Amino acid sequence: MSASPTIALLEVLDRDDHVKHYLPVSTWPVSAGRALDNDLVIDDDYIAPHHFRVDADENGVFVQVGETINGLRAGARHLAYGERIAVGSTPLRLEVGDSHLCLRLAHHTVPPERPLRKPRSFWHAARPIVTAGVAVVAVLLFTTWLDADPDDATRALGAMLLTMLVAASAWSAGWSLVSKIFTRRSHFWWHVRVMLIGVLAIDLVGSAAHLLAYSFSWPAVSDFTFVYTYAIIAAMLYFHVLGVEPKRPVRMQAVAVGMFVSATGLSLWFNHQARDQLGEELYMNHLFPPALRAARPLETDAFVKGLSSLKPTLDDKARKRDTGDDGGGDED
Amino acid sequence: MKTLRVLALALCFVPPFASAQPEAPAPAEAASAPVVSMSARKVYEQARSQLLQIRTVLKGRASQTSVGSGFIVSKEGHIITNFHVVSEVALEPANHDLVYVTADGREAKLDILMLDVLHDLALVKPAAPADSQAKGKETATKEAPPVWDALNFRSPKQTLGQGERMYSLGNPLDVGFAVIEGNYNGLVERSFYPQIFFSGALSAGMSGGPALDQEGRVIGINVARRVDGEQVSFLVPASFAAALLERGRNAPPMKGAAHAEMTRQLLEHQAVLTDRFIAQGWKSATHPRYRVPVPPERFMRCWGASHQSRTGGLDYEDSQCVMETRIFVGQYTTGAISLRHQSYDGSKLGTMRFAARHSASFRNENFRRLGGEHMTKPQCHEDFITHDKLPMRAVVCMRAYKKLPQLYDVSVLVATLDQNQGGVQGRFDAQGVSFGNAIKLTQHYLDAYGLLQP
Repeated sequence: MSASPTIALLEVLDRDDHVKHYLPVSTWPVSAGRALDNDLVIDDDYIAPHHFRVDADENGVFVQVGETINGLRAGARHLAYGERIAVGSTPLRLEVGDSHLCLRLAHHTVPPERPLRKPRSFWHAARPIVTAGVAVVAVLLFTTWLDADPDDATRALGAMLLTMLVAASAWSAGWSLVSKIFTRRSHFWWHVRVMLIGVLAIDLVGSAAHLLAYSFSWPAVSDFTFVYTYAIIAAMLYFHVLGVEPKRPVRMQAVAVGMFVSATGLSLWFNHQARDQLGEELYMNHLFPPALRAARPLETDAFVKGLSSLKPTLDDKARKRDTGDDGGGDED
Repeated sequence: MKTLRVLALALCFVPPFASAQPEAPAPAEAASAPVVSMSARKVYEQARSQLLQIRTVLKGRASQTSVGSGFIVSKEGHIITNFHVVSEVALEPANHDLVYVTADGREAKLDILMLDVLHDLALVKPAAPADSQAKGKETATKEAPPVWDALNFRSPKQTLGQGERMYSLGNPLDVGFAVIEGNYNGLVERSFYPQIFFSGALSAGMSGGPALDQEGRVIGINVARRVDGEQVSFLVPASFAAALLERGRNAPPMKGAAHAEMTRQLLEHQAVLTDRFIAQGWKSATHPRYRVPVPPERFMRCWGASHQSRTGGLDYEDSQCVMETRIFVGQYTTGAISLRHQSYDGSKLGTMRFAARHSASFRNENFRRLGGEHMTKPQCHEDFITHDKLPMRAVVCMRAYKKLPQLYDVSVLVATLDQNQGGVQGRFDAQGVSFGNAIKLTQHYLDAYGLLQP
């Protein structure tokens, strides 16, 4: 048996952060670099012959950067030639050249074992997906049924189911492939779940907006349905990407928010160009059965009085011809 | 609403002929001239010297942009033609010149004196020669003004009988001066302004030419034809031209673009139109359950159709009423009113499916007519309304004309909301009305809806 106990471990990680190989340390210092006289030889073009060493003094263990032009990244800090950093109470990650390393000390606490994502039962795992799937199919079948004439309904429902199945499989399979490439796991059911919930949310939120707009005569609610849809799509994409790159949620959130903001901004700008208004509907055009109307109707003369408010806007826009700003001539 | 099958109206202004058309090879028979009656020859020979081709040419370039016809009506050289023949010059005088060409090939510049936009007439006159203007008034007055040979108007007191021969003159398609025989068929029915129904073949380029009786007196002015019929042509009655000549005989040449004058006349038109439209009231018994506005067919023509779904869907009937009189104002027409409605029976569909159809139909509406250079984008006002116990959703969209200040188009869309499986959607459109009249017409239209009392 070896007399000296292991006081630290210097690990070299692969791109999935699995340990490729490691150097058990029993005495300080240890050195790392491309030269063969190092304790840890890393054959990487971006690493100096004596890139860094790890040593200990009365204050504890530290990393000392050697004669290198690239330096190294320790945790969030970049260190140049001659600088040093103390290793704290948690393992220190090092980015050296193209290589990823991790320095673990004996006194670092080992985090508890994470359970493998093993479902307790098939039904337990499948329930959310099955529930979402049933809901999506129900919603889509209902909308197809709504739009089809009675004699055409069966054919329309069949065609819709087939289309939906193909589209959903293609979408989820695409994301799974990307996940597999980046994380070595396909996360297929994760992507299926994200897609189902997203589709369901888009449909329900849209319908709710239309119903509210009709019921209470609030045209603005349905006028901006595209904003809710963009928000849901951005969230969907965020969760899909989380299945591909789970390590940077904050950055991905920022990307999703950025996409949402830019898509919304572009649509608002486009609507303004095309219609002189920010919304997508010239008028509220969703009619539901009479019982769902909550707003009280106006008498015709009260309604007609409200027309006067259009005149200043119209006159103002008609005059704009003279300044050459007529907002484009889109004729139908 | 579902897009209506357009039955109505393929009315076409006999356009000022604007571009070279490929010539159709003449059939062999055409070589031997058709037998022209003695009177047609006599009429043409008499009128030949008073007949003109009116050309619009690009300023500073020799090329013509459109051609029409005209004729001399006074010794001083006053000429009557159509407004639509001279509209490019009237509305864009900076880019266009107006010239006439006589049957023997003489050519000179014209000035516009006065327009009658509503009847599509223009009074023009050969421009005073530039050299006499340059030399000053003295020289000009010393020169004796040329004396022109003029056509006379037939007196309105001398009525014409249906079927009477008449002769329309002009220069069709810039091919050459021609005389076309046809018959007088009285006035066009349900026209807002009187027009003569001439059964003869008018062609592009003949606009503004005279239609003469057997004695060579002017009965009317060639103006339009129906492209969906054969020899269904229209003339402006000569009395309007005679009146225009009296009003404009001593008028100075018009300066600048004629938009202000056009707007003034359109404002007069819309005032008369609104009053006449409102005064005529509505037809009764237009729907078994509702009062639905359908105008009496005085100056509008209504068509209807019934549609039965072959797939167990929505059955509906539609009705459309349009005015065939429209005022030509350059690149578009205005000044007309139209209405349509569709009556739905969704009993085979059930409540929810009917609501989806009702909604889709309500969505399928267009509130734009002209491009952004002519009109603003629509501005809309909407709410639930009720009239005579009938709840409805109403949308009113208005657009303003950019070059015709204080004139607007108004469109009213209405959907009834009292039944689960049936209803009516109606639409009213008035073009080129004042804001006040737009409001008046909207109120008039909305108040025509109601629930029939059992």
